[in-house]
Amino acid sequence: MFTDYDRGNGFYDEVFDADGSPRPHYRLLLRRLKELTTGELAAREQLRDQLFRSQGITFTVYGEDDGVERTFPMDLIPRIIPWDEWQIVEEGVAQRIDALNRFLEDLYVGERAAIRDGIIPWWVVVSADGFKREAAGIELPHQARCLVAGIDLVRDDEGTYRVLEDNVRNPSGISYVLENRAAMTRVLPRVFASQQVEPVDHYGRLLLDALRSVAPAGAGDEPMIVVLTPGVFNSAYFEHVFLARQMGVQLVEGRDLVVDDHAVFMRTTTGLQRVDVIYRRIDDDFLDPVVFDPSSVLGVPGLVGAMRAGTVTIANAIGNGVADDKAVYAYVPELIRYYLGAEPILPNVTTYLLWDPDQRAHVLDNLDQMVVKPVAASGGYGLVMGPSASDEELATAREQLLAEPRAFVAQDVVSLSRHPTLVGGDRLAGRHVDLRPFAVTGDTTRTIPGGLTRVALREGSLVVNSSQGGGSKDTWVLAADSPSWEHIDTDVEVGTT
Amino acid sequence: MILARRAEAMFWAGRYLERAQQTARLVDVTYHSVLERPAQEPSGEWSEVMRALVVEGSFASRGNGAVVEDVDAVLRFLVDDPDNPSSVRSCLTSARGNVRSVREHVSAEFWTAVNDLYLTLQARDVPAELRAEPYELLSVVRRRSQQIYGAAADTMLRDEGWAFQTLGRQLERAAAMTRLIDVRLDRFVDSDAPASFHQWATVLRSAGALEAYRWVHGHSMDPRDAVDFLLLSGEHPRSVLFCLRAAEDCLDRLGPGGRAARRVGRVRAALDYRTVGEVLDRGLHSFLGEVLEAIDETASRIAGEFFDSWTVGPVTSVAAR
Repeated sequence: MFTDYDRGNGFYDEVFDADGSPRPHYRLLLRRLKELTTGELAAREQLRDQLFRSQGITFTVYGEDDGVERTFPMDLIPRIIPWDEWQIVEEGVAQRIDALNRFLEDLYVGERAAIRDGIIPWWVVVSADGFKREAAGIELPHQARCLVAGIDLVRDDEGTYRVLEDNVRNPSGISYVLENRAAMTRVLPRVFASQQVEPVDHYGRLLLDALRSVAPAGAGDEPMIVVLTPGVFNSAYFEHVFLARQMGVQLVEGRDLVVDDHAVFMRTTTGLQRVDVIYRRIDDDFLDPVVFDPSSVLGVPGLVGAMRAGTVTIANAIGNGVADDKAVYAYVPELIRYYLGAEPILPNVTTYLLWDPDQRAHVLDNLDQMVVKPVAASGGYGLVMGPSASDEELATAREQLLAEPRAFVAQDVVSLSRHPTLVGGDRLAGRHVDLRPFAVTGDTTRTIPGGLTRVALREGSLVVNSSQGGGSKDTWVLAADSPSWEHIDTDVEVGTT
Repeated sequence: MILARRAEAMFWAGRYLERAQQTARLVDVTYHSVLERPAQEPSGEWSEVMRALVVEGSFASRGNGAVVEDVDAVLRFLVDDPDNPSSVRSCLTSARGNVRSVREHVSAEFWTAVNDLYLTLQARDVPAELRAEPYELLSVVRRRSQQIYGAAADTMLRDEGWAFQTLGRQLERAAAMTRLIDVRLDRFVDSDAPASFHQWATVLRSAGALEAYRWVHGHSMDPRDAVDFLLLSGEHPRSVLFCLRAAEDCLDRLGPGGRAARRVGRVRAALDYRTVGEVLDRGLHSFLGEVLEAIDETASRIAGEFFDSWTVGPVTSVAAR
């Protein structure tokens, strides 16, 4: 399997160090993988395909004919993270979410101290698409505005984890994490069992506990919790169903809810049933036609009024889009220092703000070495990768960012780490990966060990999003007391060109 | 507890699946009955079928000059026409749409069975098959409809969703049987012109009851026996009384003492405590008309009681605070 694998240089390889030797925490895996014949591997891949198809684990890709449903490909080679490395990630993510929650609460309900004290300019905050005046004055129990957070991480060429972006509006993908794990244990059980991998299947419990913890006062011991979905035509519908099932709560659409006297009710066959907490997978703009987009039929008229009256809690809170904004992202390390009095555990990727003349000049001079991103986009749409962009694309990017400097940021291209990935038969090649850990915050932040490792399946591509042809890997965080396998001989050494 | 929208989807899924199966059977039986009919017997079966399916008017009003003697046109209308909301195709499309909207609450087996039948119909050249030989297509619909029911019965939780689906199915079946008796049997009751053997068999096959009838009544061709069997049998799963009892059981579970439960209970009792002689003395046709009215009323009370999206007003069930 590894005979043709080229570790390459200029990247951090997750499995092989700079000399081409396997890192200790991968040695056992490699040993086990070598025991699989080519035929066996192919058979396992077929089993995996079958499992995913029959479970209907699909997502819809916009922009293709028919908005076709596709399975999100999972590569059989897992990504492994040793416990002590994971601790850093976990603490760094929790720290970041804490700072974001404080910032957002301060912004919408507090004195806006960070703005007053010059940490982040007011105009940058209010010009963010996700800034919602309607959120003003609505408090969240435990300040848990980012109840579910997907903090995307990448590793640079030195192997340092960096935050690539913060997703605190409607992060999705946890269902793939859980289904990948279930698939791995069925497809490669012996490989899996030989290690002590931290489980992930308790996510439903974590989410449910967090949602309970933010129930409004007066909701009683058994708050009524629902998952609000836009419906069957949404690309992530499968995940909405999945989470409702995992938690054992009702899945509702906007038309199933009604607001009366500033309280939210569910229409059942036996009457109106009071709702206390809504885990909503609908964007702010479509949530309440009275207050946001009046043409939306997905939301619930009067919902924001009910939030304001304190009769219902919405997770994630409205107005979180400010923190998703990629220009605001650049200020988060300072926000951590300001609100927590501590150094950020996880650094940012170097980001250039284009309204600053010096930064802009630097970017324009080096556009073909930069990534240009729209501040409000998600899913990898609208990205311009300087090194692989055509002259026209670069010229267009230049025009756009000159015309609307607030609408874009530029970043140094990070040489994302690579991971051996099956690319046909039993051939392995290095593909770029990122990591999206999922953190749930109620009265405290808890993170699922590992999370979603996304893989850019096209050779050389740095874009990992599912909508852009990415795939995923099961992510294994090894138990704290896992033995060290430095002594294991794998007979695997790879070339380093 | 079940969302009103979900209950309604399950109710209509039950109704449409039953209607698809019923229509397929009726078309199949009639088509082959006409083929095998002795030449001297009157025709008119197709217009009977139209009346039984309550589509006579909409067929006539299509205005493309098709007449009921044009068997090709009739077959296409009843089986394939998307503009006929009661065609087999339309019923399966509606059923599938309803099940899909509540897919996360039904078993995977049930959804797959419904979806597969829908896709099968989409994939076949139905007009060509109807012209050449409709038997195979119609028998696929009939058998797979039964499989759908079997898959559901085998895998689904007996929760409120199940009860609403059963309710829809049973009411639809009861109404269809009532109309069938009216259209196909009424003329033989107290008539001087008894049914021929062929006509008799057609009536019973249309009801899916020929073999069962023979177990109970042997080779009797007395119309009173047929009415007794199809209307009042407590054992045959297609009899009107049997279906109304099942519907009443569902409503007793879903809304005991409610308006819909009482309405269906009344009509069920009207059948339960009468002999066939008493029914015929009253006049079969008018009696059947009353039964149909009662079923319709029950259906609309069900909508009012369970589905019609609770307008905001007095709240009837809120957790105490």
